[in-house]
Amino acid sequence: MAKIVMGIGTSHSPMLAIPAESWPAYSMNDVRNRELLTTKGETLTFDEWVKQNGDKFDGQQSPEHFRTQWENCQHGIRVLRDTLHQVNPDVMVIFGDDQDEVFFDNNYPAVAIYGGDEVLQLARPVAPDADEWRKQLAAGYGSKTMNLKCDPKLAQHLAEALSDEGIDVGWWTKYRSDYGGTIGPSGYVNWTRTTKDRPQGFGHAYGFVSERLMEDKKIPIVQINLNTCYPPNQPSPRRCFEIGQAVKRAIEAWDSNVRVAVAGSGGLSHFIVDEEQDRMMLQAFVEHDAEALCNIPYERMNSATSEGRNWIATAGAVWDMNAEVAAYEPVRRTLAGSGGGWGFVRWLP
Amino acid sequence: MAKIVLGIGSSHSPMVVTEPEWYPAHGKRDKASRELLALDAHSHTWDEILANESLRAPTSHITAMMEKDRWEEHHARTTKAIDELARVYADAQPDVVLIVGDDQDELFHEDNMPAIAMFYGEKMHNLNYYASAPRDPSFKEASWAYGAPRDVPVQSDLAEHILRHLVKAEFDVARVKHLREGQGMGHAFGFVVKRLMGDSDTPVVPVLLNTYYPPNSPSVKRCFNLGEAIGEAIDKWDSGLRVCVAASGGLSHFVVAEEWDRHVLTALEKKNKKDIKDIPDEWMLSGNSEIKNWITVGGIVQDTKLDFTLVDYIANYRTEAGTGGGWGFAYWK
Repeated sequence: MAKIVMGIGTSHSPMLAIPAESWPAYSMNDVRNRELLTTKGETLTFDEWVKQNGDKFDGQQSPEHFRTQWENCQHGIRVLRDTLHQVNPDVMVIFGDDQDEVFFDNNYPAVAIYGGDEVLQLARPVAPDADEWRKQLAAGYGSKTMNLKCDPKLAQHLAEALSDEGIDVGWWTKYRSDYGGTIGPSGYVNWTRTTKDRPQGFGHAYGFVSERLMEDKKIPIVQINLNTCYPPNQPSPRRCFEIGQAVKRAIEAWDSNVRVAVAGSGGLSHFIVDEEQDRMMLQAFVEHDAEALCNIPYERMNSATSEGRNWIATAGAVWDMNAEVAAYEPVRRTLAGSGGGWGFVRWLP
Repeated sequence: MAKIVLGIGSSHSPMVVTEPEWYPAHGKRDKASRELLALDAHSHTWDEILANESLRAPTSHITAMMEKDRWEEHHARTTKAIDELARVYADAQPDVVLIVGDDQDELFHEDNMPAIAMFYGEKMHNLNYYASAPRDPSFKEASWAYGAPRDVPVQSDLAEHILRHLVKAEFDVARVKHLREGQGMGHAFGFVVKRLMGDSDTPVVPVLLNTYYPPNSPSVKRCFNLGEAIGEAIDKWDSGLRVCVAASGGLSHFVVAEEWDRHVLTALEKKNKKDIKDIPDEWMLSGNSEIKNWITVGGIVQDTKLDFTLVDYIANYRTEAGTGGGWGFAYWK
């Protein structure tokens, strides 16, 4: 029978791909960000956040502080990378989400498994005269255009096993060549996000794991896409945990001797740092407190913070293992308290 | 609170809307198929099934059922049954029709195949695939019954309400808010709008199940549970509207499985939850799988006071290997 040999939870923010010195430039995006949500799920503007927080976060944006946080995040990534290479699994099941990449409002799955033989990693286009940090950012999700091997047999087994358990998984075996669409308005996304047709490869959540954790040692993957971000069909945190548990049962029942790693990509809180929830989740992983994870309210799991669902599903799949926090940094890159809680966790037997 | 006033189950095969002279042409497709689900619950070629009587109805039965007079009679009964459903529908005068149907490579493809999807946009575009891309003349002949390419209004507030309810109830439903240029809803939906709803502009709520394609077709049990959850959602919908729910497709095809069909119809008639949920998943491949649409509607009406009436069941054989279809027409009132 197949065996799960490790678990990974990793943030995948652009901030992890660029040097700390470029964080101030990158943080300019926050001024226009329409997803600066409160813990109750309400949207405030950047200026409203600045006004509300006053000087609460003053001093957290110094070059020294940024540098220290950056170092610690890179340390976290190195721990995960080294552990992955040491454990050397045969296949990696990755829980990720899709943000205006492959799925749009004309057919947006709650949960979907990719069953193709290979998947295209597309190097992101960037203008030749762009700032150096923008080039680094793009490369953080795949520096080379290449095909990655998948494990279609495991993918199919998972789709069958999950369907048998009453989990309604979507299934796709092919990426279209050029595709785009719209998202919203719905829920906190109170406008229409439009993506023009463009070449299709796997999304940022998978690209980060490939580029930063696998590096040159590519491992066949199975993508399980969770709709973490977009209302109204995001699976609840409890459902995500159950999906993870079903994945664990399915892998352990699979007639094969492969060694499987499971990874959750994204999160933790952003674009407003919710340090309280981040630390609660990390503690719940370490202390095996499933209820704490399952009871996170829906309205506190929107925008990119919602990617915590990928971690919760992963936790469900490796629940009998022990979690160790390699690093956690609440990076408040502006006085608004915007930025992200970047976390790096490994689960080992 | 919204009220379910009527349930309908109707076969929608091109065979049910074409004259007997076209039956051999439909049968030609069976002969070419390599995936006919036989009575051993495994897939076989047409030749294998012809050669082995245990995989199909007895030859004597098939031969008798394929007499010219029988075909005429079957066609007349089928047409009458569909007309009867249309009459029952018209009598009930529902405000909205929730249609449970499957998609056969029409709207959804290998690039994104949901197990369960809900359309909750303002209008669905009906695309008559049989008319627009006739793969053979017998499809074109049938195309009149699947409606003209046009926009059909969707009761999007109810659809979104059900979608949200289902997500809360831990159903992992794909959402479809609008279609891309050139996309449209498939035969399962067009048939209900055209043939049962009289091509009216009564708003619909489309629920799409992947009954056909492995590996992510929801199980029989899951479909029934889905139906129950949809029933709860309709019940909780804050509106005085009267709702009709319709299952489109089935029953057994392309190898006619009369016993299986009778078993399904009896379980639905008795509203026997356990018997419905225990219908073997092994029976639910190929065209038979559309029975899952009926099972879902069975779940929706389970807790209502609506009673099941079988208008007719016609085992209509079109080739010597016992292929054709078990066509069923029923309502809950």
